[in-house]
This record gives sequence, structure tokens and C-alpha cells, in this order.
Amino acid sequence: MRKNMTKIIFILLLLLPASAFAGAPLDTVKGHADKVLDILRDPALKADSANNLRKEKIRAIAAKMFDFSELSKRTLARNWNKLSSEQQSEFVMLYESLLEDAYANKIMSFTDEKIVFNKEIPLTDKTTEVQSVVMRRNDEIPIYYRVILKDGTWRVYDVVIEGVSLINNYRTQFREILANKSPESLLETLRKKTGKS
Amino acid sequence: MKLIHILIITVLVLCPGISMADTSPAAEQQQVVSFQETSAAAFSNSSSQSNILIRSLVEPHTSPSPSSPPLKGGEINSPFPLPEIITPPLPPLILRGGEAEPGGVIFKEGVPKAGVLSSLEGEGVLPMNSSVNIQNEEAVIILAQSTRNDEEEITESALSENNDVFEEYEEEAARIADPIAPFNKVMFHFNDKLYFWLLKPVASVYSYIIPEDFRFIFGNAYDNLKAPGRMLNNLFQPRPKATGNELIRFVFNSVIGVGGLGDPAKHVLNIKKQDADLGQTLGHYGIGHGFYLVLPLFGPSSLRDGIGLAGDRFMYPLTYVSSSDLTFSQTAGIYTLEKVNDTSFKIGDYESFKESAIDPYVSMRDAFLQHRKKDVEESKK
Repeated sequence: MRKNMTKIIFILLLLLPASAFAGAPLDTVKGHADKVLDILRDPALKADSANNLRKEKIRAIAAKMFDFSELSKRTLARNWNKLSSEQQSEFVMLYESLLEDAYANKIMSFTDEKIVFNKEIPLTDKTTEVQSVVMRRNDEIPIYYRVILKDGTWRVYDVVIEGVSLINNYRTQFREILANKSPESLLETLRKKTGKS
Repeated sequence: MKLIHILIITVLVLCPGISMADTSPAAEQQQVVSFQETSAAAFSNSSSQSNILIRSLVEPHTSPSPSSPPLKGGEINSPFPLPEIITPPLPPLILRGGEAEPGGVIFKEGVPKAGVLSSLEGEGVLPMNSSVNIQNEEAVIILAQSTRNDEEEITESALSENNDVFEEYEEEAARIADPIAPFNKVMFHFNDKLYFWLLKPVASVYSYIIPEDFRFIFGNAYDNLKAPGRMLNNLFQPRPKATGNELIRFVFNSVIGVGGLGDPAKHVLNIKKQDADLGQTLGHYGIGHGFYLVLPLFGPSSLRDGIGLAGDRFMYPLTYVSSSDLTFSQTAGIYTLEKVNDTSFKIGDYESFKESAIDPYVSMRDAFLQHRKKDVEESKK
């Protein structure tokens, strides 16, 4: 009987999904977001002269926090195949730069607020939604991070703020551009936007 | 014996692709084809022949079917170091012994036990120019020239499968008709200039002069006036609990909070505001947006929400007060103060929105749409 129990427990342990060993998605996202907030709140980095240093630090965290190639694919979706592989990798790079600024900008306005990570909701077997709320004095702003499990780590592939999905929003914008223009001109627009022309 | 059982179960558990039935004797007759996971990762690179052949192995007898599982990026780099397993019988492409065609793929057949799979790793794909002698009686499938005819078709199917995944992503996005885009764009620019040239400077000065606490009090008072509208819309939707909450909030905040200057309902009774508006109510009953409409001052809206906005005015106490007891300039003053007060909390939001957008007009339209979609969905909960 006892032997059987050991066996059952052993098997049950094996039944645990891989995600259980990858670290909970919520903790992963929270850890990264906290680090970003620490940087934004750091008085030594608040001065305009420290702008580049601050950006560099946020960039380092963002690289760990986000899965930019997944983000890019999901954003361009149908149009992804219209880009050559060189264009695709350039797009990922430019989009990353754009998003880092956008995310830093967005979360920057919340530096004085309390951010509460309250729950995670599994979407598929490899994706989860981590829900957080920014508690402001007169309102609350829900920010949901959608994460995907790859190589044992959870990485963000979408941020949904007040129901507005980042990748859906950019997809609509890129779609309008690609409807009339070539992928090259989309890249050119992005280069200009991110100051990498 | 028992150890073997545990071992088999262990492997089975770790391989989500294998169903338990595979261990049955009947399944032993089935051919199990495996390939190394890393080779699957090369799927996207359709120029490599061997990949195409693998692909053809995956669905060799069924001509490319759209119902086959889509390839997702996540599956390629799955944490499981084990290959995908396909159980259906293989096409009569089995050769025994012989030499593999350069660029051909060699697969072992008749591998019923999952435990053997791991030993197969690395044997899935041969380099393009290698030719390998296979003497092993354990049967080997060589997919050679014959399958190459399907190459193009298969490449297309790989693409269309990707597209299937992409369609899925695209479906999530809502769309709205924008037949009066030229008008909307003019209004968008009008609001943009209104913000930068008038609203922002005024609100900046205002927030400099008026302490934040006072601005919160004004905000509360304006918000309290909207409680009847929220209450009625919650009633229409119908959300009884939210309706009751808004009723309690309105009475409590008006009396204890002195005309809604404070929000004791939230801080004392712990009853939070439950937003609801007529556009949302209309959406709740299945009425679509109609088309996109940018309103001066109010910003992004739609035919439905514009009507909702007008309707909500009838549930706004100030509408009745101003029409009978106030002059035009007094009414305008009240509305202006509301707008300026409101903006004073949001300085910087619009700037950062604009900065992160590639096409601010399209970005705002989409954000409006997604946001309203969420509002309507929440009203149905």
C-alpha cells in the first residue's frame, strides 16, 4: 500500500505541467515590472542628464521581460510573411526599440502609484494572462500582461491596458500602412520613429 | 517489471503527444514516426528540402489539410526535449535497407515504445549531402524523390497554416467602418490642437494654482452628478447590484459627502464606482457602433456612442438645472471647469500616446474600439 502511494505520488509529480517548474508567470512579470519601476523611481536617474543611462537599464530588463520576436509575429500576423527574413529581423529590432519607449512612457506615468499584481489566468497551455491594477487616487487602471512559455521562461508578448491590447493596436496601424505601401516603407517609417535612420 | 512500468509511464507523461492507447499491443502494429524537435524548428525555412520532407512526413497521405494543427512559435521551442509523435499508418513509401537519397530523411518505423524515442534524437534528419547505408533490419523509411513532387504544394500548406494562426490573431481585433474619415481626421486635428494650444496650457496653470486636494474634490463633485446616469444605465443593462451600489453611492456621497465633494461611499462603505453609459447599454443589447465618429471636445466616438452621449445628457441633473436657472455663460463655465479639472490629472497621457503611435489617428480609433468592446463585454458579466 505504502509502496503504491509512493508510486502514485511520483507519477502525480510527473504530471505537473512544465510551467510549474518554470516559475509562476505572475512572479516573473512582477519581478520585471518592479525593476522597471525601481529604475524610474531612482532619484539618481531622474535627471535629464541620466536619460540615456535610464533607457539603457530599462532596455536590459525589457530584453528579458518581453519576447520581441513573438510580439512582432503576432503584431504583423498575416503581413509577417510579406517581409523577407532580413526585413523581419530588422522589424523585430525597430519594433523592440519602439515598444521599450512606449512601455517606459506608459509605466512612467504610474511611478507614484501602487501597482498590485492580483491574479493570473491561463489562456492556453503555453500562454497566461497576468493581471495587475494600478491604484490611483481616484481610479484604477487594469494592466494585463500576456505571457508565453518558451525555453522554460515566461515572456510577455502583449500588454493590455484598459482593454486595449498593444499588439492589436499596432497591428491595425501597420495594416493600414502595408495596405498601400511596401514593407520597406514601413521599415523606413519605423526607422524614422525610433531615430535609427 | 514494476520499474519498467514506472519508466514507461514516466516517458508517457513527459510526452504530451502520446496517448495512453499507444502502449496497447494493437498500437504496436502502428508505425510511429518521430523526428527531432530541432528539425521541426526549421519548418519556417521552406527553402531547405529536408524540412519539406519532414513536413510531408507529418501529413504524407492527407493532402495538405487546413485542419491540421497550426504551427506556433511556442511549440517549436517547447520545454519538452521530445519530438512530436504521429501515429496514423504511413503511406506505402517504405523501403528496407538501401541507400538514402542525399537530402532524404530517414525515419525509423515501428517504434511503439515511447522510451525508444529519445534514442532516436539526432537521427531524424540527415545532412543534405550525406548518403547513409542502412543495413539495419529495423525498418527505415526513406522519403526520396517521389515526395518532392509535393514540395511546392507542401510549402504552400506550411504558409497557409501559418496564416491560419495569423488569422486567429487578427480575429481578436475588432474593426469599425470609417466612411467619414476625412471629417474625422479634421476633428482629430482640431482636438489635437485644442489640447496643445488651449487645454494643456490652461490646465497646467490651473493645476499650479489649485492644490491637488481641491482638484480631487471638484472631480468628485462632477462625478457625483453623473451617478444618476450610471445608476439608470446599470438598471437598463440590467445589473441590479451595480444599480443598488450607484444609488447608495449617490445618496451617501451627496449627504455625507456634502454634495459629492468627498467619496465616503468608497472610503467608508467600500463601494466602488460602477461605470455605465448609454452607449454601453446600447452595445449590451447588440447594437453595433455604426461608424466611427470623432466629436469635437469629446474625442473618439461612434454613431452609437454619440447617440449614447446625447442620451446620457438627459440623465444628467445639470442639464435640467442649466436649462431653467443658468445663463449660457454659467453653463459653459461649469462644463469648462469640468474639462480643465479633468485634464489637469491627465497631462502627459496624450503626449505619450502620441509619441508611441505610428499613426495616431488609427491608433486612437483602434484604442477606442478595443476599450468600448471591453466595456460592452463587462456589461454582460
